[in-house]
Amino acid sequence: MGSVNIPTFFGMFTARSAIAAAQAQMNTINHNIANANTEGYSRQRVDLHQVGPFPPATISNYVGSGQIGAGVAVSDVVRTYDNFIDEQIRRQNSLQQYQQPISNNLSYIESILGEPNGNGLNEAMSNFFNSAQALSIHPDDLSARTSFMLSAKTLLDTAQEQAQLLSALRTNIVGDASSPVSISSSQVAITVTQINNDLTQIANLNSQIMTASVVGATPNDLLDQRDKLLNDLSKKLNITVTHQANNMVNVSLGSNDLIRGAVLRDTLQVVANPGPTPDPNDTPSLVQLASTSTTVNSDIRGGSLGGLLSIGDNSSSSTSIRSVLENMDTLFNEIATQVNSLQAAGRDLSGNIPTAGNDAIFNLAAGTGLSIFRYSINENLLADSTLVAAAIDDSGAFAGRGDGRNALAIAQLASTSLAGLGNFTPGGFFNNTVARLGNDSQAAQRASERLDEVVKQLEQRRSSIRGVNLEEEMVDLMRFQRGFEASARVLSTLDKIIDLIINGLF
Amino acid sequence: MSITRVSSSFIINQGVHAIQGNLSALTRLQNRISAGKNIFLPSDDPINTSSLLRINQEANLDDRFKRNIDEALGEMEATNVALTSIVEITHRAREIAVQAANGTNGPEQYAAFKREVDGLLNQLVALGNSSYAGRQIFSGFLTDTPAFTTSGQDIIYNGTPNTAQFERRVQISQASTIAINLNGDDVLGNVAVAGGVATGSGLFYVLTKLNLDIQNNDATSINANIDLITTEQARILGHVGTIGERTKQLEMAKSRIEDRTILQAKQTNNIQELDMPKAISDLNYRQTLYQASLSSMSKLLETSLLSFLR
Repeated sequence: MGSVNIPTFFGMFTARSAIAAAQAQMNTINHNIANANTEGYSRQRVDLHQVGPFPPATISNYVGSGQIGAGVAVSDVVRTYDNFIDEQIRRQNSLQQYQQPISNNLSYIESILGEPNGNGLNEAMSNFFNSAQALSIHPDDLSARTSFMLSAKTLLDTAQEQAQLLSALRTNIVGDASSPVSISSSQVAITVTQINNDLTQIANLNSQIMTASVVGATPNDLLDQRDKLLNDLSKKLNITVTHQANNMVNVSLGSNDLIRGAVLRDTLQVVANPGPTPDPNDTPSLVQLASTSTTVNSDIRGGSLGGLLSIGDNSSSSTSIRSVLENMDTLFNEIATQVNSLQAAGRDLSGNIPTAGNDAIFNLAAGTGLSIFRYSINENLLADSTLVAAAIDDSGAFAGRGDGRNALAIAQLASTSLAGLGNFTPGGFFNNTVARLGNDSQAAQRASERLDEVVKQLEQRRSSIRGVNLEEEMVDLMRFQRGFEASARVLSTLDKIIDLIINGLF
Repeated sequence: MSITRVSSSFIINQGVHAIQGNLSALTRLQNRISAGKNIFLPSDDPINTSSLLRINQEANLDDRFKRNIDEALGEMEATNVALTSIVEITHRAREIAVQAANGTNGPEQYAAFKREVDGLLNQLVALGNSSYAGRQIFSGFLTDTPAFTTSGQDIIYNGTPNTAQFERRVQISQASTIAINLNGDDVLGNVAVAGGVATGSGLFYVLTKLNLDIQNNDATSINANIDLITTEQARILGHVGTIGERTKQLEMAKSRIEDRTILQAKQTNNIQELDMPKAISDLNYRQTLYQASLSSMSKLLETSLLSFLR
């Protein structure tokens, strides 16, 4: 039974390892503090382990009264994170950002329509029918005739102005199938470009992460950067992220691989819908996989890109810009058609049945697309309002200048259920459109707010795991500083002992 | 209660989020208060927006119907004035007929009667050509044509014939229209004189026949005219009744609209008018929250372990 022989400088190595560990810890704290406000940063900590004891126990080496520890070593620098929460946040991001463009644009449409307070279509429609009433009482009064034609022009102008604004809004979001420039400058195309940038960066990071991981390192900061990019990407697109070997991730959209490990498999592109199916009017811009030109519009159900397509395309069941536009078109077209057929069948102030060119209040130019943009006011009637057929054709004759029965028929359209409007009155049809828009807009706003709350909650949880707390770092800094100082003291004590042994013994 | 780890940047993010939230709610409330309105966009309240639009549409229509009714009432009034004068003339004509039938009149008296009946006929033609707001009231749809013209002893009706559709109608509610005119031929008739014999109908025919009988000193025939005048009188009083009935109908429609207008205004108010006391108290509440979030933020920001480390 003998005591272990300890090498003279043994303790110095132990102290040195402690000093090195403390330095590593303090440097990591330094890094944490430096990145306290870096978005996507996860705080890092140093994992330590004990260094094997001395002397090592072997068959030939009898350890005797015990082994002495040989100090501390850094095993790894790790980041604190939780993949599950990240996954949740990405999913909620996609849902929340989906509602964002819908909610914003529906509110904008509401303000374009200007109801219930503005001088919108409702007001213009009322004025038109009321001036027809006035005309029915004063058919022989030129000022009543002129004011009828002016109110018809105001009705058309108001409807066209609003339709124009809606149409421009839609072109801004999804482009117009007939104009390539509008497609490439649309919000959809811009978002797709951003998505492709994100995808390229994620694939690059995957490759760097793999290189580091293969040699056994943990590239914490690269992983943080990639998590942040994935988070950003999830706000634009409903991606699926799956974790792979060597810390890499695969990214897919529906069943389509976009990133497989270090390889960027596919990007997205936007092209004008060549038609005929799906209808370019319904879906002006097609989002495709760049490699195969496969259209993936139906796979895009989340993120801001999904929201933009939903509000811009006409394929969804909820209110889109196009559906509001079509309702306005239907409404105006029905009123114009009815008014025109009454005008064509009536008699003007001179007792004549309107001849070609004078037989419509609203002229409709031939063409395709929404009829509202093809209507114009009949300038002949505006210039000479005696041509307005306020009188009916009374059994093939003219009843007299006091006959306002045709004008009364026009006025009565206001309270008539029209088959072309689904058996609604013009006012009722308009109310329906506005109420539905209001409902959908309110639902989108509420969903957006609710999901925003969910994302905030999840981000709080993530931040409680990942985020840097400066006080905590300060306390740790002091802790490791004390450790450093103590190790230094041990070192200087050992130094004195050795000094004594070498210089003082003789 | 377990302790949740809180990161430094989260405190700031959370604080800014709370401040933004309170500020945006505050701005929204302030908007409402300064405009005194509840609904700015349909999504603020979709169901009430729909009601509001419907009420607006109804109110716009009612406003127009009320103006229609006022126009119609004006024409009713003008018609009534004309009819009342016509009734007075029939009274005078009957007196003349009674006096003329009394067999004791000399030639001068007959001449005087005839002059007076001529005068009455002229007055009737003038009354038959009454107009309201520049429109002939007894001409049917031919509002710019005088209803009656005379040619010698003939009195011709020029308006829309009573065999055709002649009623000018005005809409007074969403479901109903009302006729505002009488046919001049129905009211006063017409007459043509050939070979000293009058043919035609109505008051013009009767008075012209009376005139011819007076001219012929034919007391028996004059006597027969008394009953005819009475019949015409009754017929015109019937028209007065029609006008009275229509006027009543118009007044009723008008008062219905006025009642409805009050109701509509009340409904609009209920929906659109902001509950001021509640809004102000909400504003105060929000303001307190906003100040609280600001002050708690400033307290949190100035506190740090760093301040205590020396």
